[in-house]
Amino acid sequence: MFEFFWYVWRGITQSMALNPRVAEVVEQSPESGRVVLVIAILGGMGLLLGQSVILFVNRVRPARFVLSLLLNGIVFTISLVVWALAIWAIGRFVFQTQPPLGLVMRLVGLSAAPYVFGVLVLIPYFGEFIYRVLSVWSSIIAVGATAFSFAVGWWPAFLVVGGSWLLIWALTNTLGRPLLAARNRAWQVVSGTSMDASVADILTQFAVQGGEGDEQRKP
Amino acid sequence: MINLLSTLFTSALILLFITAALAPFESLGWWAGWFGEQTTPPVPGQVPTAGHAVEQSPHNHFLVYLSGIGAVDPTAIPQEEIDWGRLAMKRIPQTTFVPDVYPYSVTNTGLGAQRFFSRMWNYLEQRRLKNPYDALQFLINIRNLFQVAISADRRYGPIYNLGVAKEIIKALQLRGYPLGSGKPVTLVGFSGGAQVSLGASSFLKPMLKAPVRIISIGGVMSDDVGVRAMDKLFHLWGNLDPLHGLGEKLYAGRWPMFPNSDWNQALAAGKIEFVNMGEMHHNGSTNYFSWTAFTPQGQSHALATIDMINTLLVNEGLIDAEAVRAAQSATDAQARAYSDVRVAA
Repeated sequence: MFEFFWYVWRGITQSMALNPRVAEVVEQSPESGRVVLVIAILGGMGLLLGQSVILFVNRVRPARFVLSLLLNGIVFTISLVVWALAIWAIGRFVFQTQPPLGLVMRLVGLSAAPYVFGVLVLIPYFGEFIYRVLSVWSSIIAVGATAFSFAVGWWPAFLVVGGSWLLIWALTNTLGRPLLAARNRAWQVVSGTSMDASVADILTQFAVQGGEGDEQRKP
Repeated sequence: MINLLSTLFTSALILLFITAALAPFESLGWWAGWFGEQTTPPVPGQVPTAGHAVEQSPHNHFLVYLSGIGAVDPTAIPQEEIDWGRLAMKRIPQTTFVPDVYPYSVTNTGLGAQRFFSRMWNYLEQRRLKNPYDALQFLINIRNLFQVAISADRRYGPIYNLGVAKEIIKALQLRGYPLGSGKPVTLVGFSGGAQVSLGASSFLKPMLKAPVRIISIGGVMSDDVGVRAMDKLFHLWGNLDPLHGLGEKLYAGRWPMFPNSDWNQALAAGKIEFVNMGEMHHNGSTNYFSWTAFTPQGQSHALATIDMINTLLVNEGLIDAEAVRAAQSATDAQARAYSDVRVAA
């Protein structure tokens, strides 16, 4: 057990260090899939933990809070699988190399590693900057994973990753709508709220109650 | 030895990051009802009430003091602020003072009354009582500094500032402020207390339906949306205060390159006024509350700060110049005694 989590920790830190040895280990060992799966789930949980203000604003209860983090871990892992599929499909079309889909999935899954530290996004003032750093870091790992999978340079890999984002965006806004609806429904069931409230609503509800401040806000 | 120091430094850094990341949970948990506090979040459309009747104050002006980040609870604040406040209450006339709000908690709960770390905070406060310059009090400052950053952070600020605004309204009522009277309220905030004042004003203004002014003493403030709601902000700053200018460096909305930001709009509209206090520091023996450092005119810094507040309140038509002169005459001797005792020590 401890050995397994040691591999998970090594996978996180070495992926973030962009150590090419990690990709080699993942390529040679299909069993690494379990380690990558845990990293992806932890990354999804960390990502939501960093943005958990939305859960608090909607007054999600503690038990449901934990369940929501788990759900985000699963949803995020699925989104990584879809992303890996898009990269694999575009890569096969563009490059000569035909890597196995499983390898691309495992390598792209490592891009979740920076989000394991998503809790740092909670830090006041610096949090939003930290989120951007983690996002860029994750993208760089994904580009590195693509470059390794298809045995190409960073720029071609960057273009494929960019193309995969466009493909996912297009699919999300067309065929993916029922899936998004199902995801949102799952969110509502797990969190126990409609998740409609936002921080801005607090200002709207309490800061503009018909006081003199309202007048000053009018242009 | 170097390895040990490196490990200690790394551990301290990790602890600092974790503490910073966990800092918003107190106010977020309060909003979500996680901790079962008796002080629940307010309800839209309802003004918080103190719960029991209090005799109305005869004064038409109320002054709420929000202390700097050295405070442990409303009463356990650095001695220099206590001494300053005692004389300010006598020297600023026609005003009801409200020193009962702890600005670094959404429930007005001092650190000593917190469940998990109360023993640590009480221990630190005891050390500070024995030695006002105890080095470990920086832990209190760091804890409260994070709360100031939460107040200024637009992700958390509305929740945090609403909680403090609610406590300010309750404290005002307990000092005899009649809700709906429209009596003007001035928030005087030192250091981080100025940011919390600014944040809370977003909610105080519509809830009280009264003029809300802010006097910042060396305040570190962001481009908080509160500048839209408050009527006037006076920022008192010393030439030797390196901290008061942090807000204008750290928060992009205060940079001149963004003229449409809330802050710069308020500045252009004349709602924000900078008041130079001369050679005053933020901390130490020559700060705004010092009885042992003097202006070129021979006034102690503490007295100069109080009298500047008097001048601003007179100019705003909140108190009478005649009453101020009378209060000054009545307290001059006490002010001199304050200084003499401390200079002699």
